[in-house]
Amino acid sequence: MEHKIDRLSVLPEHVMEHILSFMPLKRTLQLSILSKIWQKVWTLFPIPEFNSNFCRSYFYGGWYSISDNEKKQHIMIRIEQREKFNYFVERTLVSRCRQKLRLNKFNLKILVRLEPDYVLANRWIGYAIECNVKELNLDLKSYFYDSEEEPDDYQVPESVLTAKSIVKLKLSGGSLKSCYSDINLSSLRKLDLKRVDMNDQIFQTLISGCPALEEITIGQCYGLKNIHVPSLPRLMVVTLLYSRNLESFQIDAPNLKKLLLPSNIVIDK
Amino acid sequence: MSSTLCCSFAKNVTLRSSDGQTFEVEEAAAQVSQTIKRMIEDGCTGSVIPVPNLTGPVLALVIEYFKKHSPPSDGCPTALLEMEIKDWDAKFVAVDNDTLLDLTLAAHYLEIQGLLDLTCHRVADILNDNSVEKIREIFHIKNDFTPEEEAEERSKIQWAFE
Repeated sequence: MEHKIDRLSVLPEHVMEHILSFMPLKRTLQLSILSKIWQKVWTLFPIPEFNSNFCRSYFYGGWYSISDNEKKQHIMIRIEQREKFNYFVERTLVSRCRQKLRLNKFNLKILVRLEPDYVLANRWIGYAIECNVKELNLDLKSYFYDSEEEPDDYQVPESVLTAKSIVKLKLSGGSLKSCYSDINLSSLRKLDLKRVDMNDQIFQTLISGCPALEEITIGQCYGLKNIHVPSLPRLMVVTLLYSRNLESFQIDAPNLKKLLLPSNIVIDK
Repeated sequence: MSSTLCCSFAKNVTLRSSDGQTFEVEEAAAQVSQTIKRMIEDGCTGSVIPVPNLTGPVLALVIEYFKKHSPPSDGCPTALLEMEIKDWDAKFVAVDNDTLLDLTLAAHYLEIQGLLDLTCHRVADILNDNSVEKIREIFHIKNDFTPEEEAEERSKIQWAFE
């Protein structure tokens, strides 16, 4: 039994990647302690998905009822966890970029509150775009809880709006503020905007840069007052979710198949 | 386009394993493998198709898979048939780990997507359901970390274990 051969570790990379595609990322990571060959196994994971939510778990369970010392300890643990998370994300993305591995999907859910967070988020998004990401899903909050009153300060980097590889883009939070020079999302088919801080003009510019758009969802973008979706030949599905300050919504889609509107909207206004 | 479908005598091809065993199988069934399909289309099937990466016993199993998954000659597969195939598939990969890896590699070499999905999913299930220590034991993976190195590696991804 002693000299049985380890055949699993030497499977072709393509096969290993396929096996890992049937497993959750967390589990894949655990496998990296199997042996030295497996140390780099996470670089094969086809869909990087990063969610910093685990950093929050220490906040639950009676924050106000514990002593200052305990609070300090909790914060220290949280900072340490966060650093490890950051390190891991960075390591995964850099390694992918170096190996020129394509990226099908990149999900990132993090808190962006201060300047260093912005820099980090921008860098990671940049890596994903460099790997020709097809599906980009960004959930970037400035606060722990959704805040209607205070819009996010974090500005979505211009590189996202000029990435020709992106087919599906989902933005939750963040803002589209300054005038981006040339928005060009020529492959984009599906756009989902939630809690994105932007005004009518930027929305207009954004949409004009998505000629292949088939599906759009807009919700809780309180900066929007008068939405005008210009003529897009391929646009088939439009979903408008609750948007408080919205006064008018005009679409010009010759091939529209499905239109979903919130129940409080008055048609023919 | 194929005109062979109407013939009641299906055309056969002969496959030869790395250890020289030969197997006769219906051409339509063998074409479940994209690699073999290309070889047939390119006309390199004069006598025998060599399958140098597979030993006889593995090729015999793969041919069983071919037979089960060859397109039905009498129209579309029914839902019942699909269910039956699914059950058959599950039993087909309920084998020892060595055979499972043999089949995985065979699916890879012969480009049999259905079999590759099936075997990879099964391997993933094994990796999912067992502890790191148990996986080392099952697949004979030598732990070449020193205890310190392993502890360090573990600490880097501590959050994945929580």
